[in-house]
Amino acid sequence: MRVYFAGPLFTPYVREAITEHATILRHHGIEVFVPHEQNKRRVPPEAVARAVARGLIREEALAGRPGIDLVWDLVRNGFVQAEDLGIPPATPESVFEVDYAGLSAANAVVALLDGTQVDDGTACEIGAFYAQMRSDPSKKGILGYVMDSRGVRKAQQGYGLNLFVLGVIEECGWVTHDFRRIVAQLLAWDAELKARN
Amino acid sequence: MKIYFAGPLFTPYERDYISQCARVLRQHGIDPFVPHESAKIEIPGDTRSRAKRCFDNDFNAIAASNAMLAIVNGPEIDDGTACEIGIFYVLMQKDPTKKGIVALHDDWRTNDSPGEGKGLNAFVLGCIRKAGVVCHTLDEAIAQLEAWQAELASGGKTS
Repeated sequence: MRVYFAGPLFTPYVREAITEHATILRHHGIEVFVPHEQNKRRVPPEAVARAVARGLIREEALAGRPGIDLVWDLVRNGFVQAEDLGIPPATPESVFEVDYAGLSAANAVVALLDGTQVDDGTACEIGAFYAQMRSDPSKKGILGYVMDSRGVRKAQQGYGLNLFVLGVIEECGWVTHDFRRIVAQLLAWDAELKARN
Repeated sequence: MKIYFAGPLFTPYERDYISQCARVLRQHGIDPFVPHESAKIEIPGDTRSRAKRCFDNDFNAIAASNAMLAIVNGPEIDDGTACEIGIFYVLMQKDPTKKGIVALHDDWRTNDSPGEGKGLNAFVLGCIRKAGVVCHTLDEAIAQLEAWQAELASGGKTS
């Protein structure tokens, strides 16, 4: 069972929240594709040596953590330019290619719907996954997750979500603010997939 | 040629702008589906939710379209519009009568030049570029749609 975890991953705290929830799913034996975890794949091994040579990373720090993670943290937090370490820049084309491949390989989507609207990247992924699902029985559905208090307050009225996006999700899943329901549903889908194979 | 006209349609002026553009498209022989113009008739005894009715109306129109014109203005792309772009991209992969997506972009918060704003979402922009083009004026967008219309008319039998 592979899950694509979509969400507004632009700030450190949202990325942490997504990673935390992905970790819960991983503890349940579910494979999770997290888009922001893919970025560091662009970091070539030489970039670690360059960062050490420039004094950005202490040699001894490398003993405890993978060097590529340390380098990517420096880049993401604006302490060094990616190109200065020889890391190829992310382009819209490369982001779409990597994430669309992750989406296409997934059996389900968990989408974090927080924010004043559903994040546009997340919404696009919801639409693409739904359209793929219509001709792919190995795809089980989309589960929307809301932690945003403005949405939770309106849980009975569709969480205050865009009607079309909500309609797409409800064609093949539902929206909740209880992550335990999401874990249970993914495990049920996992069992269905295993029974089919 | 039928096109699906996606865009933020929540304020009177957004709807007016889309309707104005739709009139120009019609003068060029292009047939746009405009979500807010489509009659949402209340059928007695219809138990569908509002979201379901919105989905049924709009998804069927997307599935029946040869191209999509999407207004991508705003601090970010409207979520309904972004979702429709994702749907159309996937449907296109298996349907040669679907020619592509034209984004209409005229918002200085999300253009490439430095300044206020954070740019267009990379995933959605990558998707649009893979499926079509980003235009900055309605004239440019119409030129692209007309080129696709001509392709459909000439190659319809073979493609």
